[in-house]
Amino acid sequence: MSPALETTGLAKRYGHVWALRDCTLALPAGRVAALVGPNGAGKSTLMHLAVGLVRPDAGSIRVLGQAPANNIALLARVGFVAQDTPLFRDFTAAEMLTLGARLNRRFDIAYARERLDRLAIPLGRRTCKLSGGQQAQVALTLALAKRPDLLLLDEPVASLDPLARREFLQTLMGAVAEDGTTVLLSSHLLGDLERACDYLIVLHTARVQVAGAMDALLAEHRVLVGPHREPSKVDRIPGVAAVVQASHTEKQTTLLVRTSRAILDPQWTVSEVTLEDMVLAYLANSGAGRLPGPTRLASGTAGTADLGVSA
Amino acid sequence: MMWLTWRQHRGQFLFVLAGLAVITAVVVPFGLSMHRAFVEMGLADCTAALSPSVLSGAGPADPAAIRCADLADEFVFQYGSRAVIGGVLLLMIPLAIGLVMGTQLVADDTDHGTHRLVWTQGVTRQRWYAAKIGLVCAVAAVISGAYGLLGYWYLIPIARSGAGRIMLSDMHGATPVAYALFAVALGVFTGAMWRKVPPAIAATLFGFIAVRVAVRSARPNFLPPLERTLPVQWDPAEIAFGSPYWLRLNGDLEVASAEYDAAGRVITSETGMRFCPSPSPSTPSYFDLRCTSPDFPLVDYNVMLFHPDSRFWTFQLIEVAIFVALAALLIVLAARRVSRLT
Repeated sequence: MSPALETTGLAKRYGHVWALRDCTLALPAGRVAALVGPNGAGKSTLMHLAVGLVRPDAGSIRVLGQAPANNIALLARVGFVAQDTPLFRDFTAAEMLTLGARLNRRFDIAYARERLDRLAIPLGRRTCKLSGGQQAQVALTLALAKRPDLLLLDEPVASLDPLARREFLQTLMGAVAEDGTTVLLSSHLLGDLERACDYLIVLHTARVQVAGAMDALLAEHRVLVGPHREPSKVDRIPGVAAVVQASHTEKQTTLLVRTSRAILDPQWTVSEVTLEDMVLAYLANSGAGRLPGPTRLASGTAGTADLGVSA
Repeated sequence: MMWLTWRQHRGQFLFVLAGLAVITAVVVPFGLSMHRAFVEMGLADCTAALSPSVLSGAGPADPAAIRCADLADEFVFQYGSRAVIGGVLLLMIPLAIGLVMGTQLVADDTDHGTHRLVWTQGVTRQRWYAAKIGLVCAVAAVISGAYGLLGYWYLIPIARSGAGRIMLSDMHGATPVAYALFAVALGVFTGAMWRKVPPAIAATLFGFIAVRVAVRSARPNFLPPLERTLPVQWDPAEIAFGSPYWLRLNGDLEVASAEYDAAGRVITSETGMRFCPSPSPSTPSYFDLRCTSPDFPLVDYNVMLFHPDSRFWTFQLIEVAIFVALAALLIVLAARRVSRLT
């Protein structure tokens, strides 16, 4: 099955600042992917490129097999919820749904009404009078009612309280599970993503740092705790493919590693990693432990393209 | 699309219509009382009776027209300042339309992030804005057209009392429609450039005033003016208020004037024309001091460059063409800008 979202050497620059560079990744169809990275890492830029709001400066991007620039036919199959879940403030929720129906050839307004009813969102109320969680739900409903094949959500839960956040993600998962929609969801809230997502993309300083299936990534990463070791010798442990992060005290060395096989050395206490530990380890060590995720996933596209441009 | 555009802008339309209603409530009673006085003073009748030959100064002195000119002077003295208040209110309508409807058209979307919502649905951003600009321009044209007619009616007594229609061209006729379209286009363009409403409002405000002032000052050059030679010596009755009676009535727009000596040289072009009573009346102080003072050089004749009032619609057409062309250019630039926005 072809990837829902595929980029090759994708780059976008605003003035002299690269918002995205050398971005090569492939998001398999049917996945619910978490897009993670610090502010300014290029998450929004990647999403904007995917919905044709911006054009790439280099490389290529294909969404559901098509180029997204000026592609209205493609946009009909892509649902997008922009950052801060924008809605027209003086429209009622019902009028927002009418807007969706008027602007899209394929728009399931009955489903949208039923969904808002089920969430007890008053259709006749102006969106500016709705709570943040309700506004996010209206924005999500607008995107879902397109019955999209790919759903892109740019930090949809950023402004929500924990309860509303959980509810939002639960209803999202419920909605996409039925249709097998591919989802790309960016967020800073790693705990939420671990529950909701089965695929992970980490962006850091405009580049892809990690990409892969969530369970595989969690399975191959381990935290090792053992007696103090010289920093130069930590990568010679049998079974360790790469050391992502190492911290040393006088007595003890703690490593977060990517393994190639089970670590049997009894010197090390091996424990599983959480998504948060793993992502933070990568983000804190941008040069150290980059995963060649894309090369392993998308057969044929080896490595990242060198653009020959300096930042 | 129509429903959507209407739904998005109806608040602005109502706002502008409410403003227009307030202005109408001020202007119409003023206008009615002006028109009533215009009729009651006998000006409506006497100005209607003026023949082209009288207004061009061709015929012999016409006592009825001289009386009419005196009435007209009195009328303008009484009602001129009031008329200006109403005229200034009318003058602001195109700018208000541009500020309210134009600046928000793109900037409100980009300011609140809703452009990312609407540009990622099933219509292109070009179509989205084409529909919006189309509706807003149509509404702006209808509203400003109505006000242009209102202004035309309102200013008839002042224009026919000698001010002339060309001088008041900013406030009535067809130009308000072109000004309103230009203001909307400028608002759209500045909104697309700054992507926020407050700077777009500031830029539209100053840009609109600057262009209007520039075009207004260029207006006398739209067409080559006509030339008229006027004598210095006049029957005292004909120049009772300092200039020939028919010149005060005909509504011609004076572009420039100068005094010449017998050798055909310009004496001065700064003090205008010199009209002296002949024979000198018993109370000379009322007339131009230069006529009796030996300090001033002798003048042989005056020359005046002017646009006759009959050119009014030609001038309106030229000005409409200028502003509509500017509006079209701004819309094209705004469209190019929008296609690059993210």
